[in-house]
Amino acid sequence: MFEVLGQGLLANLAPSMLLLVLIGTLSGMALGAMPGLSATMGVALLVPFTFAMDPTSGLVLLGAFYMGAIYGGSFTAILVNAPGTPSSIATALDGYPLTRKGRSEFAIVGATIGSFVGGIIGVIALIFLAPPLASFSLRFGPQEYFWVAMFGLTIIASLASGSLLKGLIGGLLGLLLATIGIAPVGGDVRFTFGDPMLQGGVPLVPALIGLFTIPEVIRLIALRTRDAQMVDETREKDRLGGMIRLILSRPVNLIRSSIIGTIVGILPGAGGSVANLVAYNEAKRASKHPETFGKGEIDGVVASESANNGTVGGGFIPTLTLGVPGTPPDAIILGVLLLHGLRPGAELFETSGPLVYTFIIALAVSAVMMVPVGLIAGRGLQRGVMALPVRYLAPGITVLTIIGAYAIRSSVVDVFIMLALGVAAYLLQRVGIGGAAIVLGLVLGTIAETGLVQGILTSSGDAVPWTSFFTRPISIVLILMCVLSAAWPFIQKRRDAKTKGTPAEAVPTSGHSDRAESD
Amino acid sequence: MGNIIGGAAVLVICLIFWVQRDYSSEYGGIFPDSVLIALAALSVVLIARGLLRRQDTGWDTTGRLGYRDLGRALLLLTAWVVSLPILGYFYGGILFFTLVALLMRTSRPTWKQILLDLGVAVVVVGAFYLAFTQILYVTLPELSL
Amino acid sequence: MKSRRMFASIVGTIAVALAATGCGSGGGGADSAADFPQKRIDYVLPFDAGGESDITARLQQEKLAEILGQSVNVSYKPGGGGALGWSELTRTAADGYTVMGSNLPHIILQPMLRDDAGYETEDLQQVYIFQSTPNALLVPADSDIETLDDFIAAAEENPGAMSIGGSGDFSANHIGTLMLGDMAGIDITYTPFSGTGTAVPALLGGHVDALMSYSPQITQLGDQVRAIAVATEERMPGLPDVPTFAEQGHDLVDGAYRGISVPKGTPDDIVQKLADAFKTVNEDPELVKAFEEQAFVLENYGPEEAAELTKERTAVYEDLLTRLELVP
Repeated sequence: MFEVLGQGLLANLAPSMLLLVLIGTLSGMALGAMPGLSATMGVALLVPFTFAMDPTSGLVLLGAFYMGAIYGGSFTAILVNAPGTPSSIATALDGYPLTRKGRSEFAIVGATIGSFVGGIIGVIALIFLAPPLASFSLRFGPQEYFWVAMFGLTIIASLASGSLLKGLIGGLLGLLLATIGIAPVGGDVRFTFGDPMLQGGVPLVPALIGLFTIPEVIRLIALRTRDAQMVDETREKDRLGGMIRLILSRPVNLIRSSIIGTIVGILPGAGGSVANLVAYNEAKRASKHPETFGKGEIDGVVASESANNGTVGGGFIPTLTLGVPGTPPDAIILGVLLLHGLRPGAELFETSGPLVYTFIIALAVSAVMMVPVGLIAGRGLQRGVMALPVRYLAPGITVLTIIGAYAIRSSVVDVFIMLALGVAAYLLQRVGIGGAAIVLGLVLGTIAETGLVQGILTSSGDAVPWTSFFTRPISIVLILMCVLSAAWPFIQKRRDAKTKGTPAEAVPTSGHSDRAESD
Repeated sequence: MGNIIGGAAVLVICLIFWVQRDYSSEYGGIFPDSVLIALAALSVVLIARGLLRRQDTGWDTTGRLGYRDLGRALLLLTAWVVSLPILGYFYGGILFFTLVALLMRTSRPTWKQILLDLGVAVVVVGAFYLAFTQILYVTLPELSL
Repeated sequence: MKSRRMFASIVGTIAVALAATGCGSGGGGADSAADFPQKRIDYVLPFDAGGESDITARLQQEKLAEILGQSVNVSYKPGGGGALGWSELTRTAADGYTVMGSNLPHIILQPMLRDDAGYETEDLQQVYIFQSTPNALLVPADSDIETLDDFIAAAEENPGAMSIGGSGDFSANHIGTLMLGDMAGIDITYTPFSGTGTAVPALLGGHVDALMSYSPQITQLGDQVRAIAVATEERMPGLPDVPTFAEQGHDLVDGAYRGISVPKGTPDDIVQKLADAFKTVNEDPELVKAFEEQAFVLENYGPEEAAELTKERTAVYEDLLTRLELVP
């Protein structure tokens, strides 16, 4: 194995190959930064070009592009609160507050380092642990997916910095939005308000842009100015080297988040949209100062971005060993493999070793290249956005949101949905119900419902199908994790109260959203 | 008051969904019904809290906007989006980009400034338009009067 | 002064560029088949990127452009299991410049089973059906079930307990499962997954007892699964070891058919021109090889043949679903 690994490495060092990886990474980053253009669409767009290449070059280009696209999504999430893909939701939660505090450059650097480490750890798992991890992923059935979604929902407890009750209401609103359209199991047509267009449900990307970005655009246009501190100031410790050192000084967060990303990426049907949220939650839980999360905490950005780039390597594990795509872009790359007559499975690593390892190593090379490229391009973009007068920034963001909501399904209706949700999110924010909890519910709703109904159907042989949700070993572990996660904020409060001897109400209990600090 | 209004608004949303309940498969209703019931219950709790604890207003006081400013922002965005099927991405984009930029100026704009804002609008919107239609082959809404 | 002049020239350049593109897409008033096509053709898929339809379209894209002499652009309009795209197609200009992937049995079953699918089967003018994927019944490689008889015996032992996974509701997989239950007189539970991609791991992990899937999965999954029957009339050339349902006593022949449609009212000669283009693509040796390797079955149904097939399948499905009391 090490011999082929070495061959793969050598193949990647050829100048033409390096150039190919660079092109892939760069164009991936550019496309990923556009809200509405998903990594999946980009990879599909690229496929016809790869037909003209030999199989290895084609796959290398696609892989590098995919890696870059997942990273590129962080730029818009940080700079204008528009997560380019569902994989960058948690990036926006702390990235944009950092921008508002004048630390957007720090956030970009954090995202870059996180994406690099995540990408590398995912690839390492792909090289060394693919077979055992793939068979582990198969033990996740419908019941387990249901509990994974429930575990994701417990994040509400830590997201709601204000009132838990309002956080729960937000999450449930998101779950309700997710039930619009054709039922994922059973095919019922539900809650379409009489419009056949809504059979397709509430599309995720326009909803994300609406719930996150539109309230900010409304604020910018209404206030006519940026928030006082939104212009970046250069501080002594903000030198690039200092920033990188600061981020690397907390390796546990980097590695934990990358591992979470890799593992969630292996589960087909969960993927990047869940991974970044789970990693964010764990980073907050482990942090010594959890109260800073949501207000511009670099660890939050790092966690989210390490996790989503970890899913790239993780997702290829079932793709290459079982022929089961871990994420949607993997499905396209799997198709390309098959078109070249390469059949996934354990034997693929033996019969086509040089090709497979060249491809895998190229993913790692792409992750390495993201650092210099991202630091130059990402910080350039950041400087540009910061230098833009706000009267151009606000309509500029609007232009971007409209195109982003439209492009995913070429539908004007999606732009209307985006605006309606954006205005609703602004109004709900006024009564303390934050958009982040709604997004969480929307992302997890379909996974939860699918798992629930499929679990009942597949265990219809049991006397009481419900019991299968509580008897399977992995389900039990997941249930325990849910309970622990939901109870954690309370446990932490008590512990704090004991050690400090101060009342637990250090954080304002209600009526304050996560942006208290900037006012 | 914030809690009461918020809770009532969510209850109305629940009602709008509840009247549309119509499931054709055996398990099509399990999930939405549970969500609806839980959501309605929690919004009742929120209303109750608003009634019982008057000192907690429930309004999110941070980043509050004046009604005039808010109205202007909402009107501009709505007009922009609603006009999309008619004016198309390019022309509607230029028109509203310029309008927003001008209205965000704090002083009365001079002719020179109007031309400048128009120019920026053409460049920004045009760049996106060309990038999407010519390079990425995403067709965008066109002018149709 | 200088910056302003530069600015003016930028604006000018963009204006010229836009005028050029605007004319390009606005022209083409006289629609006669002889000149068709005069501009880019949009090949829209009513599904997400990455599915089997997508791979197929990407393979066809370049060849189509060569034959038609215009570029072909693939885009996506997913939602509602395809319904969103097809309903949009009925509102699109009937000029042949927008062609959309259309699948059987989807376009038959959605209007049949939903109160308002947003379109009717007859609103779509099918141009060509170029490939099909027959249903195949798969069990995990380590399962005790070796033959269709074993499977039926196991289902009879525990009515309703046998769970069959598949891709989607009222898809070919679903109908295939219903047909099997109907023909063999067994009570089995169908569990839909959001696509073949999520259904397969459920089988490999033992969360469902069997999978009604499509023939390409047999070769793709290799020795991880055992195919106990395939829903073709005769054994498939690429899969000589897999028996058919028919030779095991149950005359089940069904699957999914992929083709393209245009809005109803598109001039006949334009439809024919498009059909000829797809026919030529289907004869391309490179493409034939790629399809065969993936165990797709090449089909060649022109507009009339496609309409006939649709009529025939509609009758079969209507009969089955009415007996099972699934038609509202």
